[in-house]
Amino acid sequence: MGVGRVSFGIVVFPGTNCDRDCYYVIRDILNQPVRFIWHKDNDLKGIDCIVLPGGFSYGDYLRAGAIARFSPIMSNVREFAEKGGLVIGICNGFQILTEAGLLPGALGRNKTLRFICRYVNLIIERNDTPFTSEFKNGEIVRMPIAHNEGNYYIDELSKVKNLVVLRYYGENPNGALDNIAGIINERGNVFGLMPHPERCSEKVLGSEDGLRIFKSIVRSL
Amino acid sequence: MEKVKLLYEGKAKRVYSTIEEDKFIIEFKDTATAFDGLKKAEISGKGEANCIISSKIFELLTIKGIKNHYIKRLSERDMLVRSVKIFPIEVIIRNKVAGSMAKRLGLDVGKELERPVLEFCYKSDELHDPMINEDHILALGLATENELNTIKEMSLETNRILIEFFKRCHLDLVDMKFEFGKDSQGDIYLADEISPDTCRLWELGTTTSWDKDRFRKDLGGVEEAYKEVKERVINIPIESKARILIRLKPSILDAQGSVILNALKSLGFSEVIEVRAGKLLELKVDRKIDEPERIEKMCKELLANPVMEDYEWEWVE
Amino acid sequence: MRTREELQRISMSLEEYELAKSMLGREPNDLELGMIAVMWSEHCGYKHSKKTLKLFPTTGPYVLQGPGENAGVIKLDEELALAMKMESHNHPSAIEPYQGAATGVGGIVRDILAMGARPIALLDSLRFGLLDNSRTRYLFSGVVSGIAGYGNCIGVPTVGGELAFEKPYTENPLVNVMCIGLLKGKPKSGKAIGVGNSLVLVGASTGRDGIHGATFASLELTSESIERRPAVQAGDPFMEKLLIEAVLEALEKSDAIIGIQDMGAAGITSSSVEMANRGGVGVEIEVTKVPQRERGMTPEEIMLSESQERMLLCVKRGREEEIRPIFEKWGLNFAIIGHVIEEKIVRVKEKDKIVGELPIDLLTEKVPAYDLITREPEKLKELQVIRDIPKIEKYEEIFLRLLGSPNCSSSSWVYEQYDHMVETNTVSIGSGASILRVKGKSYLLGITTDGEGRYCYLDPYLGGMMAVAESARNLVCIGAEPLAITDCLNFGNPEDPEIAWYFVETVKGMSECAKRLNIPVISGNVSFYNESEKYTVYPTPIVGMVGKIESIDIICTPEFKEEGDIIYILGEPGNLGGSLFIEELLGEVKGKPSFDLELEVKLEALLLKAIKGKLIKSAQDVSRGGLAVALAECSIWGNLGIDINIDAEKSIEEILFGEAQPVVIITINPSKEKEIEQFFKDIPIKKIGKVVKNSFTVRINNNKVIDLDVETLKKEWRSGIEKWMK
Repeated sequence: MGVGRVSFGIVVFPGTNCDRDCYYVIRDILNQPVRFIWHKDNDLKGIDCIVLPGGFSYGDYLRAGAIARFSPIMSNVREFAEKGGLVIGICNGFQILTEAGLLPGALGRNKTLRFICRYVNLIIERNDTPFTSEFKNGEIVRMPIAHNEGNYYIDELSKVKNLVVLRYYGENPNGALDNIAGIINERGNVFGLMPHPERCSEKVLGSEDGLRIFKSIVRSL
Repeated sequence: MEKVKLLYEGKAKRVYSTIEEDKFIIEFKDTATAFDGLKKAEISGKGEANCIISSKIFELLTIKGIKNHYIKRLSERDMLVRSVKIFPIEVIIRNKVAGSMAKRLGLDVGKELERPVLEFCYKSDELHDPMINEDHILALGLATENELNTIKEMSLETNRILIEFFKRCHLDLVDMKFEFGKDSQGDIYLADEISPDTCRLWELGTTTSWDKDRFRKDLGGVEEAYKEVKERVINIPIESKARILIRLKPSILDAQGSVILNALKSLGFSEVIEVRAGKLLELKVDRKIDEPERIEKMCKELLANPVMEDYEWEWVE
Repeated sequence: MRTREELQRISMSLEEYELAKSMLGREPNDLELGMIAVMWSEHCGYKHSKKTLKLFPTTGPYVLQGPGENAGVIKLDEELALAMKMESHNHPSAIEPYQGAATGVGGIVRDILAMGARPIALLDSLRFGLLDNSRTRYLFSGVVSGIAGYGNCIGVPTVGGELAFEKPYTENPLVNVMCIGLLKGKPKSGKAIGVGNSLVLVGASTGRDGIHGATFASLELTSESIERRPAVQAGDPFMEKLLIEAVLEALEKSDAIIGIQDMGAAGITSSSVEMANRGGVGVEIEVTKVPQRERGMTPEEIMLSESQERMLLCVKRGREEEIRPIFEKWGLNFAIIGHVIEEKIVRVKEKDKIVGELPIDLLTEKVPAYDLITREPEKLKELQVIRDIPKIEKYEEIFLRLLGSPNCSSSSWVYEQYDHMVETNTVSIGSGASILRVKGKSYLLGITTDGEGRYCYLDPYLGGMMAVAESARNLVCIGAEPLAITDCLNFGNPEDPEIAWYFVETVKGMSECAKRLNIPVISGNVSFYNESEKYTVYPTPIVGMVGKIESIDIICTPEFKEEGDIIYILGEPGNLGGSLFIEELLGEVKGKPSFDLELEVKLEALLLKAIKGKLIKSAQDVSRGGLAVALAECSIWGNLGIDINIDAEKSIEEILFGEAQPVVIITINPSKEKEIEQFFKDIPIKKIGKVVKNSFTVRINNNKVIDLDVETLKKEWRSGIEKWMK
């Protein structure tokens, strides 16, 4: 692998709908190799970073992410993470990671009880992760959210004290505990966030803040 | 639940108290006796078989609306039951002629009866459980008229359900023996056990015994018979419905509940203090055995998210 | 022999029954009668609208597919084409708002999919009663969450549409859903051809839902309708998402699929019959081959079920197994339920037994087409006169009232519930027209929906023209050249001569304007019987339009850009006829709307040229609420104020709140004043003032009539809907 060549794998569950958006950003904007991984496959060969994209895996029936975590690929994702591979879960992907226990906590229904799709302000709490090295600590960025269940919850906040990477800044759109918008695991290789970086990676769409997350990943590898 | 104190030891079972006053644990033994204890032996696996068979049948009866003392099976031999006061009456219900009835009335074994026959015996080891009639029961105050009627109805209904059930196990239910008890409220429960020790079971359409008669009559294959009945009973699925209620944990803000609460209040239902919204799932299950654990497992693994949700469930008709 | 009552249950008249019987030459059995009834329903048969719809211009150099297919298609460039279609789901939404709206989305998405296109955007045009009514709020929030619940899940962004609240829609809301999609190469067709080829049902299993939904949609709403709830279907967006992916994958990997058809109203019956009709063949269906969700369904139930998320494919014989694995991979049914036959009939079999047989043309071409009996309503002349315009003491007060009314205010409460960004093509939404980029192309797309029932109610011919003109104007204002129209015509009972008159006049007006602006109508839908015991909806034509923006640097948006920019108005503001102002003050819709088609044609041509020439910094169409509201929106969006003076002979009310069309507000760089005035010299153009920091000051003939700050406007505008929906 040459410098700056990072292979991404985007997992596709039935009902995933941001897979092609992530694919476009990684291939056409970031110019990195990328391929889709069907949820029933188990071949992660050559993959440097796994993306669990947004959408409504299994229709979000029962609970968002609850069924997807039993897909065959998830045991490979777990293994991949245990070996230190980078995993990023966006929106529904974040929900799947918490359901699978790869990230602590859970994502409950928005306090408004409505789906929310709009830009929010976020503050970068940690830039010492492979996913956020292109940001400054304390920097305020704008990214869109689009979800029904983004209300982060954990029984004891102390469990994630040092794991919060992103917080909602200003207004908390969904009632998330302690304004948590994105967290990372202890080891620092599994990251989940509710905002959609792939939706703000091009100037024509209004913001390029999201691209910096993908760039951080490339830089770290 | 732990066994606290041995309350009673019978021929085939021990009964223990628990820390909860209204619950007993029944332990099923491998010991078998016949002819009033004259014949006695250890049959390996019998306790386990009877415990499982009884559990399954009690679960079936619960679904079918027959009140019984069964709460749940605790282990291979232990069953948690409601503590009830046992009536000193043994109820025998017969569908075909066999055992003492054949002897007493000189009838051919296996003869079909036009209708089920109910017999009552007075429970007394010294008197060898003599047969009595309804007048005896009432005159001696063994049960009230209402209680007796309930016992008769429950016996006949249980018989109907079990004839069907054993048919699916490819077995004829020839006759069986029940005990009943009542709780502190006066509600009547089917008690004791329902197993090859208390039922005469023949291979469907034949007179081949699959019950304690194999032991009584030295027919051999006793251990195998208990195992066989256990296998057959386990493998018959009973279609039943588990109703699972999933709610947010009390500590978590239930936004939906609050909105409903406000709506109710604005409609003038000011007496409402709190609303918790939840999810209700109904699972139609072909139950074999150990389903309570299976349902628990389903709840824990998939249906509820333990980080933020609680669940409870029950079998419903 | 059937009784009148028996026929009424399936919404068929005795006369129609007799006609069908004589055409068939025998008594139809129950199954056949059920099939005839649905195919002869207004919903499927268009029997009251067929003749009138012929007025629409439907051709153009880039039209690849006009009306008659699942959707219309236009060519975007040598590689890409765009499919578009709008459809109503009014009746189901009135009964069960969530599912009614959700299945409306599902149906229109499958129409686009049937053309072989990937659906890329949805728009919704919604009409409800007033929000002070609790049932309206229930319907409104139910419809919005239905659209959100379905659209969000399938990953097709909802990027636009519009919304209005007027009394006549109280019991019969309008839910018109538009979808567009992109396809490469030739559009697919809903056609069955080639004797022996297979008919394959893909997607969900068939249950008893929505039986006779099509006939239900062809009835007025009564309290009884509530009890007809079974005719409402439930949607499963997850299934739809799988269907989209499976169909597109199958089309990409195999050429064995000859035809695709959505299975919507009247289920297997209409989809198989329509496919046969388009292909000039017959079809044989074996009902027991249909995957069923419920036990014991009769052939009639199977043939008429409107279970959602199903499509019918015509697949080359012997090549079915090539595509079966694709559908199975996505967890969908793939069932060969019949095949193409030579004789032009639909033959229904249950195992080996023939249970019904009808000629295709009896169910299609020979569906009776009625001449409408029309009569201009007598009360119309009276309606067109406004007496006693109330005296306004404080213009600011009525201005803020209009700005904060749900008809003018922000609709963020609605569109924030929609995922409008998925697919990452959405460049802008929330103003007159939405903008989507096309990945890999330099051009962009503009899309809009428009249509004012109020105008049509007062003057259907003008109102029809204005619906088309406003859509086109909204596109031009963002720099897009209008390409094609899809429409949805929502009216009451066409057997009422006054309603019929409204219908015909509206279509005439729309056609005239579409011809003059040179925009073909390539698909659409008619929804009649939109009335309840209490109200008949305004005659409401909704126009959906797509345009093309040459490149990203041409995009023009409505918000003010910079302090000091000069504000002009093109056209002549005025005329309170049909305005919200009059409705707000008098409590009823009155007056005669005003529209100048000649000016429209000129204005659009010049404005588009000016935008392409980058002469203009912002452009905003003036519509609901008049000039004052339009200026306020430009200020709110741009976070900048205005300082203007308008010299006019008309009254202050007319200038501020009149809704004469066309009127457009533009801003330019001060250095381009001369150039602009010269450029627009052939049409009315008036300089009115300039963009300032944050005060909003309006003078008429040098009298200050509004003096507010932008923050105040924002507050009113933002809370218009939200204050009702808390």
